[in-house]
Amino acid sequence: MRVKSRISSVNLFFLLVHTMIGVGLLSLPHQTHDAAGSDGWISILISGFFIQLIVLLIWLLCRNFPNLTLFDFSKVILGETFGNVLNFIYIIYMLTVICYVFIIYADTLKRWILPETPVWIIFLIGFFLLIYGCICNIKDIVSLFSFLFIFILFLFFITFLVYGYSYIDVRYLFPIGSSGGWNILKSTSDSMISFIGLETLLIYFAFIKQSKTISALKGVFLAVLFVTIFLTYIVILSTVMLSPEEIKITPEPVLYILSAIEIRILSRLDLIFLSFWGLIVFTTIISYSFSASMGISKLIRIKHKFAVILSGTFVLIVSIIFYYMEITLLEKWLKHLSLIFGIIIPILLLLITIIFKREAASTYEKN
Amino acid sequence: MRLKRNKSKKSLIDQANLSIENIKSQLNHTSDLKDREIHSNNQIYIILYINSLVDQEKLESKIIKPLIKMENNNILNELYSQEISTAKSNKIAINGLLDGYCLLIKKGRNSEGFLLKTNASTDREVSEPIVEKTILGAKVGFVESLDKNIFLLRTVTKSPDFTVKKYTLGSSTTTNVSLIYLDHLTDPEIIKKVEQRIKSITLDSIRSAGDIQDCIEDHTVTPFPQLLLTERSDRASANLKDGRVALIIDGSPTVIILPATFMTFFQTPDDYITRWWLGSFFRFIRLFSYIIALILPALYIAFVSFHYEAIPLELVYSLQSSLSYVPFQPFIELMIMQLSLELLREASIRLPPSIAATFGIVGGLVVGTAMVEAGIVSYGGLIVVALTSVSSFVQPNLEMSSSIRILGFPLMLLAATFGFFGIVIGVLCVLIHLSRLTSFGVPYFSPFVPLNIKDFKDTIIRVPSWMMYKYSKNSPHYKQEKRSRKWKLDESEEPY
Repeated sequence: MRVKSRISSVNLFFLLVHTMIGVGLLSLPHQTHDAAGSDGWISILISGFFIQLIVLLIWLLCRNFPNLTLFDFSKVILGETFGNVLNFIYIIYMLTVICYVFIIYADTLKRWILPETPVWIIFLIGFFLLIYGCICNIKDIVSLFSFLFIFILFLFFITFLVYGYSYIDVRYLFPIGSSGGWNILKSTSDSMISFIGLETLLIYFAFIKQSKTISALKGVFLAVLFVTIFLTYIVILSTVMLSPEEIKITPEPVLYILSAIEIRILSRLDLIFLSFWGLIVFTTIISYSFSASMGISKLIRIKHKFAVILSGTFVLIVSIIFYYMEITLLEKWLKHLSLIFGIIIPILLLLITIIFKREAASTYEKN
Repeated sequence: MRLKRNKSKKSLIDQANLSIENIKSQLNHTSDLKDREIHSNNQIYIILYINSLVDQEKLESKIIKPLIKMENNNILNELYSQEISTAKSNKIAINGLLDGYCLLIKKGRNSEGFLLKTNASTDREVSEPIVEKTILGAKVGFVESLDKNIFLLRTVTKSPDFTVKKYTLGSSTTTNVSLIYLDHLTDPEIIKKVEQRIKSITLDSIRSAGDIQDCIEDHTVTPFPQLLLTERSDRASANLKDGRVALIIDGSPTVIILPATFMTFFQTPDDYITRWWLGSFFRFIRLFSYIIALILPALYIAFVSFHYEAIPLELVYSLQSSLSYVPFQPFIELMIMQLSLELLREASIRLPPSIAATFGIVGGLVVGTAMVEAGIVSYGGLIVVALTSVSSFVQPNLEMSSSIRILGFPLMLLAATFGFFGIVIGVLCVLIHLSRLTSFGVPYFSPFVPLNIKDFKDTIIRVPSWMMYKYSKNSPHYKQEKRSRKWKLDESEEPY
């Protein structure tokens, strides 16, 4: 692949943080509480650690094929036919993730701030923003994300306001490890889904300068670390603020906490939080659909612009169907799918590469 | 028929031989084209000039008088004109005549003539700029003459690297344009781009700076200006020293500065005259007012019509008390106010100052209060619109503040449809748009996008001038010495 615009390790940090932090944020404490009780934060930390290892594996895979994305080197590893099949499955997977994000997003917005608005309008807005956001090169996306990082910090800041007004009981965290080591480990597979977004690394590594050196990995490590800390913070915050019984019945604990407090000039902090969270979710959508459209344009050889429109239309139709038919399969599927596509397939590809000594057939540019 | 004539005319212009008859016919025997024969020293000289473009005094004292008194045949040593060039073809001669030169031809040797500078200038006196006012800055604004503008720039930018390149644009009527930059500071890539774009202009005629702006700006479908238009020489000079390029158009007191980024429009000469705390504070106020002017009406609509519960209860009561008499939705209410404000603004531009004051009172105060009392708008809406317009007047650049007016209406519409969420969507769109704009290859929304914290020192704040020792990314060739405050080290005393 001829790489027109390159990104640095720092840029990769922004890309990955924005891809990873997304819809999972709001309901994460609820989900981890279901699985691991008050020890949910431990399972997040553990899965964060796992993810670091997986990132390392993905990097080991990608460094064999500098300047090539997953959609290119899959053909080198598996051959033309199977490579294309794998690419197709990956594209479908990515589009499914976008549909999932769309549905959760629209659903949350409808329940919290736009109760009267028909959901398909929210889908339509998302569709237009997806297309507008994706028709560009990777540099534009990176520069946009690096600016929007301010809003992630802003989300962080909003949660600080909670401390002055709510009742905090640190004892909810204790006794640490009460739910048993096995339960915590088991729940890590559930909390892995909050790190979804990792798969895009298979594509983004192609754009990085000097992908062979370890410095390429620095941004990724920091990104995973940042996401781990952020999510752990959110989980601990919700565990401390709400009693175990409350968490069980609130699907979005963070919003629930924020809606209860009131500062002098603004009575609904959840509104602000949700709106900025909306920005962050859109970055996830843009990042995923950029990758998916890239795959589509490589698979059926069309221009990036049309690939974006194609994937946008697919996402729009599928998510409207899934939403109105009230199909909730996606969430269950994605738990397993993210494991398969984020972890198992890259490991398999890496094994094949090592055993059969596959090498990049063509690298146009040297680093 | 007309086309045919033009064609034949063109072929005549290109003809190499210089002949008075040809020149006369190409200028359509215009009645202000005069010629005069002078017999001197056994030679016959013919002087050809356009009466209306030539300074009579200069012509008489510097050309005709020495010609008549001439004793030898070496013309070049006898004439007092400061600029003499030879004209070998009709085309050069005609262009010279149109620039106010006079053509001197020795009779009998038609192939060669001299162009002598005798042009009249109607330069007005340099005066203080009207639009871009400053408190402490220089009281020098550009004028309509190209040479005088270059003079104004050179006097405040003394450097051997000061480079002027001249272009003649327009195919049917010509306009002189000068490109000015400091060679050691400016990115050669940008200069190359500017030259290329200027050369590609094939307009019939250049009416103003706007024509050139239309042709050379990177993106046309955007409310954001990518070139800075200024009439202040100190502003232009400061930008030259920052590694930017200036374009001066003959006949226009407006100078184009490029490449301009988003933050360029928030800098004024005053920032650098006042101490840096104050300068930074002004910057901050301007940026803040930009954001306020952009989203305050939208926020008002979102909160009043969607999220009543989000604003404090006391405020809800006071807003409600005046809103309950208004029959319109908040969006319509604000639209009425905004539109009437736009009307006031447009109307007041062309009024004489003496009437404008009365107009302001009648238009602003009377109509405003009457509208509220008649129940057409609420007090809340009135306050919001007034604050918005005041904030938009804070902007130092007219074009930047008009981008607020263009973007404000869609944002209001989004807020009226989706509430706060709509504003966020709108802002996201604006941010995506901004992050893709470039001005001559330079990212428009830098240093925010792509994020470059080092460049914050002269954008969002203004650090003291001795701290700006490294120039921004666009001019990598030059570094300022870091030692301006070294005396502080020498003077400081140990306490014991």
